[in-house]
Amino acid sequence: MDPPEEDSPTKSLLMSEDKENGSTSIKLEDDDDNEIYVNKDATDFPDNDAVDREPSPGSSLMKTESRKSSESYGTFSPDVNKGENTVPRNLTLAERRKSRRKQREQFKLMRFGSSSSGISHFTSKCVTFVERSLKQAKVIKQNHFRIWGTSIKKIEGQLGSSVCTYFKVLVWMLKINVVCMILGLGLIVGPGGYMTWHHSQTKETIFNKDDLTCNNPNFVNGTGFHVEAVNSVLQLFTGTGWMENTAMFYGWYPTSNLTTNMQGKEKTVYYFSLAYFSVGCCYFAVSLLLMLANLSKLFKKSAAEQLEYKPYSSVVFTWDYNIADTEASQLRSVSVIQSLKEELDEDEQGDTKRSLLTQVGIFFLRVLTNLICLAAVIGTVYLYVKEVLTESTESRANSTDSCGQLINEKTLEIGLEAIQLEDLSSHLAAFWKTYSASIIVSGSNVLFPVFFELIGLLEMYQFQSTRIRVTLVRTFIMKLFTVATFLYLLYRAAGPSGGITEDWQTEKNTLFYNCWEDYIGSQLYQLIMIDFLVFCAVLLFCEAFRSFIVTRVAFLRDKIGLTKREFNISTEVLDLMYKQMIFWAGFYFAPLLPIVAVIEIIVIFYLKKLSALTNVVPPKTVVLNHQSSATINGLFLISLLVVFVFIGLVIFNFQPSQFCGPFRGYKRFTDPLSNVINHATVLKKFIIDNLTTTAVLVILIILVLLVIYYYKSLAASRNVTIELLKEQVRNEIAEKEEILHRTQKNRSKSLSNEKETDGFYSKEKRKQLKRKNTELHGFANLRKSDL
Amino acid sequence: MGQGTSAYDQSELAEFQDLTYFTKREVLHVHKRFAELAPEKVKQHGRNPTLTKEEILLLPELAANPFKERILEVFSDAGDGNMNFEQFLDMMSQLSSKAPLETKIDFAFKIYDFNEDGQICENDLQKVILFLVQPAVTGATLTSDERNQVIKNQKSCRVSNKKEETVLTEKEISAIVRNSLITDDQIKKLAQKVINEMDMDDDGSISYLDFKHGMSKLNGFEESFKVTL
Repeated sequence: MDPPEEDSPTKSLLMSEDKENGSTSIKLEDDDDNEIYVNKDATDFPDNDAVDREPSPGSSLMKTESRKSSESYGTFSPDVNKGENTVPRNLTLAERRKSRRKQREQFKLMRFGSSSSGISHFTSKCVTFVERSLKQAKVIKQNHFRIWGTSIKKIEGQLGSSVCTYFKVLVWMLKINVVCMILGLGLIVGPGGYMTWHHSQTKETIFNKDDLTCNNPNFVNGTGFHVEAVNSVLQLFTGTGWMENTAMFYGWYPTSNLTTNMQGKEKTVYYFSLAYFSVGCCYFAVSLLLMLANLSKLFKKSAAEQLEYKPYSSVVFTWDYNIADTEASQLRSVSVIQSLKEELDEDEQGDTKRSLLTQVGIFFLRVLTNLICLAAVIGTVYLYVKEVLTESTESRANSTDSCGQLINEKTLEIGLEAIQLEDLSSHLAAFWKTYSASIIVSGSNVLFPVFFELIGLLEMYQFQSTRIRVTLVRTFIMKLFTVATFLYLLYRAAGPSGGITEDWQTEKNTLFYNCWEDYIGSQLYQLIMIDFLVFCAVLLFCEAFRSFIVTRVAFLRDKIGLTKREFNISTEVLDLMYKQMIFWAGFYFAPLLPIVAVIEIIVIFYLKKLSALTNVVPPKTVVLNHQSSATINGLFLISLLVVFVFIGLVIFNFQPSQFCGPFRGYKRFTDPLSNVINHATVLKKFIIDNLTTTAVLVILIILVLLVIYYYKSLAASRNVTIELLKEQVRNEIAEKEEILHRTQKNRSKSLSNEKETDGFYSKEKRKQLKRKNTELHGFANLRKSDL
Repeated sequence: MGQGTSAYDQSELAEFQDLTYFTKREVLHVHKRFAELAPEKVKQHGRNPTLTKEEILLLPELAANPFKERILEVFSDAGDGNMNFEQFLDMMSQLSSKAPLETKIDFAFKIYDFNEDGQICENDLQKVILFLVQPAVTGATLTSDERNQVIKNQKSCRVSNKKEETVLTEKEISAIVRNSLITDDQIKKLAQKVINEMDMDDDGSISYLDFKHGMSKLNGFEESFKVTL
């Protein structure tokens, strides 16, 4: 490699390549003739972004010379001649400043000399300006647009990075819900509101459900204003009564399409029903895509790690430098020790630690505990289903026929009779009737994780990580079960057997709900509210109260060893996932739900942040971040799938309500879509008809499978290549070792006047190998000392 | 804006912004935190006061870190932990979240290389584990003098690899064993295991390249190796 030709006007910058040892250090000479050996990487100054790096005079030359610069593993400072290896010496701030000023001066001179025409000068200026502004934009985006960035950093400082996963999931949920909120607001609520107002202006009659019943939810039989007020407030939580008539729920939205009068002809500009339907679909599609994108990113990172999993190094070298609190660092240190000791134990004893008898015993124990868990979950679910269904049959018999005074569990109105009686027991009974569903679900969400943890302790797992994973899986299954049951009950209640289809005309009095979509929407809304209340209650009693006791009453802390509550990441994240599931399920029936979701998420964030900073200690076992992130994303996907199934079943099996919502009058939910398609041009119709046949679907599935297979085999082949390269590296190193050994031996022997033909390799062969080694630059430099 | 900002004008701030990974606002913030550590010195010198190691260690983000002395030693010019503002700024910039992975790996290697011979050998690793264990050891923490002594106890890797010496002094061992969180024997084994994992060229210690290769595959490294003020 010849020294690069330098035609710069100044001579203060000399670039030379250090040939002797084959390394690529670059010598810069200062004005004071101080030689600074510079790491090649260090001439790439640490700008915020590589975009704005002004091309230094030597860099282009460097690029051609060092085609393996990306592989070169740093350079060695001049001590290399002594045979010692030192770490690449990054420049300090002062040194960087010096050399940067030098380069700038030089570059200016160069540029000034070479720019001939005004146009090229102008264009280059434009280019730099654009580059600069792009860089600025990127900096701003990174710095200012991190939602809740400072709060998360603070929490990170106190509790460590793993706890931050929870808050990052919150941020991500917020993003999804905000996007959906904007979609919903813009495309559904906005036009819906406009149309309702428009119709009320023009006094068109929309056949509304209110006309059908004299349903005045706040119809008070003269019991006074306070009852009405209380009722209204309570109805905010139950989502019934006056709330049913607001934009919150499905029933409010009109069905007509937005039309304009253009040139005397009425032309439909905005198909509202179709829009509603499509936005519902888009909502899911958007969430799905966002999650998949996130998941694929995480998979890539964690897959690379799985290939070479280093249990010890990953614990020893990844001390969390973010921790700024001595107590937290103490806890972290304890967990580090624990995980290290666990690994040691596992290595030394392996699976033969336990005797055969103990193993069998443990196996049976675990089977038993798993059955217990399953039984508990199924039992709860069964009781819950039974109770709700029996109540519904009861209340069917009890329905009255007076307007607005149905004591009916389905309409979820608190019976006014109960309040009038002022009897505590019937009050409670009514309360239970209305809220039973949600209370059971929320209650089981809180109690079951504790139960599972205790069982996990009972099962005597060898490693904490296994135990945590098992508990996580169990909690997740439990949550899925309860939500699925809840949705199933809704389906049953609103569906063909429970809902009104043709009966409404004849049996006006046995109208349970004239708008089953509203019913579903309000039930889900109620679930969200109750869940939120339970969450606040848990926060207050389990965390705040406990930490209050622990800090004030020293007795408990010292003698019993009671501490503040541990922040259990897996349970909390599953809780978030559960909430998101309900949000997803509810959107179709309550378009304003994303707003509620966004508000709730914001409130949860601040409450949790407060609690995390004062009332909670970091968890004892540290979960590796990327693996857990991938798992969490996977769980979210599964829950989305469940919700998807539910919504799909509802849409395709049920008939829309006759008198409420944007689909009133249609036979099926998909009718608006088919109407539009049918009215389209013949060509479009032909295309769409053919696209939706099964043949096309089968072909698509086969294509997808082929693509998956391709990528899988690609990955496998890359693994094989990695192994081969590793082997090659090892061989190279062994060869060099041998050469070094023999050369030294020969040198010592030649000093004592012996022939040089001794040795494993002859002289020519050694030269050959040396040449080969300098070719394979990147790999050859793996050794500490060179020839 | 405090007194510290009068020390630097806009062009200098712009230069700092170019030379580090910080924006001007962050540079000022760092200066503010720096000034809080020793207000009188900053008032006197203003431009580039040199703070001693003890003063810098008052910073809570550093104080909770078991490797605090090493961090300061690596980033200070003189190698003894005293640094002026520029070096402090440099340190914070390299430790911030915007520094690229390579830089972090470089500095991590230097921090963990206690005897500064370009290799992380068993000695160094045992010391690393010792310091990792330190915060958990209640009631028998090493004093700062003892910590310095452990750090300075520099035996070059080549020497001790051949002979099996105990690198921890009696006092250090007793401090840990007394609380029986981890035994001396376990520390040795752990050090050996880490070397087995990371050492690619089979020379018994982790060279810079081994370390770099290993850490770039380790996902948790980038996230954990940062300090934000």
